[in-house]
Amino acid sequence: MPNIKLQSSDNEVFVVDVEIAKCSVTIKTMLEDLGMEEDEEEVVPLPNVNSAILKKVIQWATYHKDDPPLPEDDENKEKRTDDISSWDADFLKVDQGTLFELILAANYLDIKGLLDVTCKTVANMIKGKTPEEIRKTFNIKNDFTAAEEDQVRKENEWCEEK
Amino acid sequence: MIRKFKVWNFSEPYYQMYPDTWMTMDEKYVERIWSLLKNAIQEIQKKNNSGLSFEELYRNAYTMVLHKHGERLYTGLKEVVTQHLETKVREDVLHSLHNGFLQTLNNAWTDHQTSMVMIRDILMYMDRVFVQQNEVDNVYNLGLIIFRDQVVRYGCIRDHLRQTLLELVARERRGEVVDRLAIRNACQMLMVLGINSRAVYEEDFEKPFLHQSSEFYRMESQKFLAENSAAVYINRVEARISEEAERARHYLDESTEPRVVSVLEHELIERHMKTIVEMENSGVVHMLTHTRTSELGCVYKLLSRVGEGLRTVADAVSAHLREQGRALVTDTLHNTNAIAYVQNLLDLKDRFDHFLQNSFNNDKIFKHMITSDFEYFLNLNNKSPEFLSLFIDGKLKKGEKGMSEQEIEAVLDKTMVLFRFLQEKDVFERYYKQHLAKRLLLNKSVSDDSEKNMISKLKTECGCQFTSKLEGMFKDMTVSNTIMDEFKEHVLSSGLNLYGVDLSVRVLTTGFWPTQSATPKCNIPAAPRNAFEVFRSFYLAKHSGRQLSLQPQLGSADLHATFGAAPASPPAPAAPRRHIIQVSTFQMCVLLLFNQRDRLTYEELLNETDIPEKDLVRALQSLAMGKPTQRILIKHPKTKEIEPSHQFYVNDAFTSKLHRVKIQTVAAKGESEPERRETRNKVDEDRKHEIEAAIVRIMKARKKMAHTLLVAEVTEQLRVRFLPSPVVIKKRIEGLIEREYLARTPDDRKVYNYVA
Repeated sequence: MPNIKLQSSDNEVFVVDVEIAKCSVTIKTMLEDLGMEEDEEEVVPLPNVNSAILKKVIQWATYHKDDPPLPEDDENKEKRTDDISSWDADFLKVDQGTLFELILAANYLDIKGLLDVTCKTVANMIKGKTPEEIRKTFNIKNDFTAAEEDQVRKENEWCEEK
Repeated sequence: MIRKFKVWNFSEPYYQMYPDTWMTMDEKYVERIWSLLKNAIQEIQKKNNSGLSFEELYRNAYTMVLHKHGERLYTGLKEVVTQHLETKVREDVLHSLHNGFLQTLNNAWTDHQTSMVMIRDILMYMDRVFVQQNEVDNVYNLGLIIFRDQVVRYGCIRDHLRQTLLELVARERRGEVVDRLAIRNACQMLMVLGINSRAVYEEDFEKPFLHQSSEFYRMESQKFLAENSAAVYINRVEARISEEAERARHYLDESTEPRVVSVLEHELIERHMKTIVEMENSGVVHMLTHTRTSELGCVYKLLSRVGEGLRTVADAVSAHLREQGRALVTDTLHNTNAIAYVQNLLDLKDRFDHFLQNSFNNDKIFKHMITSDFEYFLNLNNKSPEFLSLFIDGKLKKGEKGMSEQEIEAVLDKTMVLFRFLQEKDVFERYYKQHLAKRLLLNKSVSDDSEKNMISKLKTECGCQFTSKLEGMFKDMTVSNTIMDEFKEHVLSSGLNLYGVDLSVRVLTTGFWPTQSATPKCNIPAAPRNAFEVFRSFYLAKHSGRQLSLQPQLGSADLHATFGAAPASPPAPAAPRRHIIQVSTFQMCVLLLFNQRDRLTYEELLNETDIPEKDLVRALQSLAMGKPTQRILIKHPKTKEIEPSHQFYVNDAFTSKLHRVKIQTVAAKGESEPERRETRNKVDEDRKHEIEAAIVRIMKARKKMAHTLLVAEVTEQLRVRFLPSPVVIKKRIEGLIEREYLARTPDDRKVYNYVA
């Protein structure tokens, strides 16, 4: 099985099966455009991703390499957040920084499955919390004035369940 | 594989993606990224992409969009592409207008597609995120739109493209060889430029193409029709249609095929349907008369392409068939021979069935047409029912030139087809009964099985009412045979005297057999008369309460005859000769008189035998004026007419090779006119009764009915036997009102009530 070399921002080189690497649409397009041959010694640089994250990404992709292709997003259907597999849940028991970097990496590399599951995880972290609690979780500074906060609360009253 | 990009070109610092630096991308930096990308795009357009790094460009575009500068990127892309196409590409194409236009255009198109693919790849993130969110055209489609509007549809290029393509097609139609690939490329380009619709192809090429085709073929059709026969024209049309279909499949877009074929069908066929069909000396009628089966097949195939085509052909064929049929049935000169009449009709049907099968593909339209045409002209001649029955009679009689059972069956099946076309089936029934009776009584049937077969065919067609009497006739024959056996036994055991006559009697039930208006009189000679009386007593003893009446017109007799017993004048042979002669009952009466006297005048014969004149004349004609081998009597003078004073005497010089001589009755192959009128009258009488029965039946069920509805209902019920006219039905209704079966309702004269 042909391999390909991926280089992280901190110059670490990872050897990966081409088929696994192709779960990233970005890498897939790149390969097609490059017309890379099998025994090439070429290395694909990924200056946007550091080695720790790239490692995690490769780990995820390796586990999910036989997944069936995901269906197209139906705009009208509501997306669920409670359908994360136990393996994925375990995989994502990481600190926030890593989680966010995984999101960015998945976005850049265009790996839909990983992007979906990481965003769902964050969404679950937001669900059901009051604004103060959310600020605490994500370390967000409250930059509303009292008046602004009041106005926003009034506008969104209808969302509150009575 | 073509290398489009380098792997990387690590010249630009990248931007760290951390949340706290999210929104602080400054204008200068954005500008730098954009000009990097702009430059790259332009290099791609100049086909200089091999020095570019995919990853770098992708990352930079990604960064721009991520930092909410997608709009800028999109607008910039649009400008760069437009600029390139307007200033460089369009100019190149314009310069080539009269020198390799299609080639240049096609190259520009190919290059454009290639570069747009690459551009799309590096801008993939923008496509995925920005385009989706803002519902604008994606990168590739944007490229198509600009190419379409700024190059292909640019004023004179658009016109020139259309003209060039049409010119090439026109030349190929004239027989020249053209560059098909160039046309194909151009058409495919137009299809792609429609972006999920064929509108561009349709407007810029197909519409004018169809218009040009229409004009071209309109002219060609006129020229060709004028110079050629129908068959040649048709072949040419087929050829042209294949040619155009092939052209569409090969280098136009294949969806054009049905459209252009329909243009051809309209111009070459639909507009000229009548002309083709009715062409003198080569049209449909000509093909029919000269049995050009395959040419007719071509006509059928061709005209089935257009809506009214088959109807036009069917009309022409129908007109011809009706003419032929009408000529056949109204040809009074030759229509005395029933067998020939029917055989001609069968031949005509066979002929057109052949066309139906081999030229017209058993098409329903043509099938119905043949049926209705035959119905039309068969019923023009009111002798058709009688002739049909005579024809069948001929086939079922002994002596038919050795046809096997299957052959007979086949002919009878065909005859049944004609029977279905008859309107006056009740007339046929009457004649069939008469002819069947003769066959049974004179023992002329070729086989009982064939007879029964025929009856069951009629039963299938018309139901049991039609055939119950016929079956009764058969039964009578069987019963008679049984009675004869019992009679013979009786005579033997009781030693009765039959006066030297070997008697054979057939007892017929009056209701089943066709009746004469009155049983003809006849003076039966003593011996047979007495023998019959013996039988009569025997029979009435078994079945008291019944009546038997002798029917001399149906009987026959075998006589022992000796010729040359009296002194004869030469050149008669010396020794006396014995023969058995088979004659009719009437003839027996005549001949036995010559046992008492040598010569008899016609008048004497008439008085002594008491036979009705027309029957006597017929009997005498067969005996005295037939072939020499049949001439039992000699008539003096030897004229054709028979006057009362003319004399008859035995022909002692009679010779025959056969010992047993059968005297043929001068066969009336049809009825004489007075007989026909009589039959007709009987039929009309019967019909009156049937109509009345139908009216009463219907009114009894419905109790109340309007006049027009009643007439319609009656017609519907009776049409399997004959077609009653509304006038006759009206008369019958009035008759029934008089006899108080029906009454008019008080408020509406046109509505009737059933009177219980």
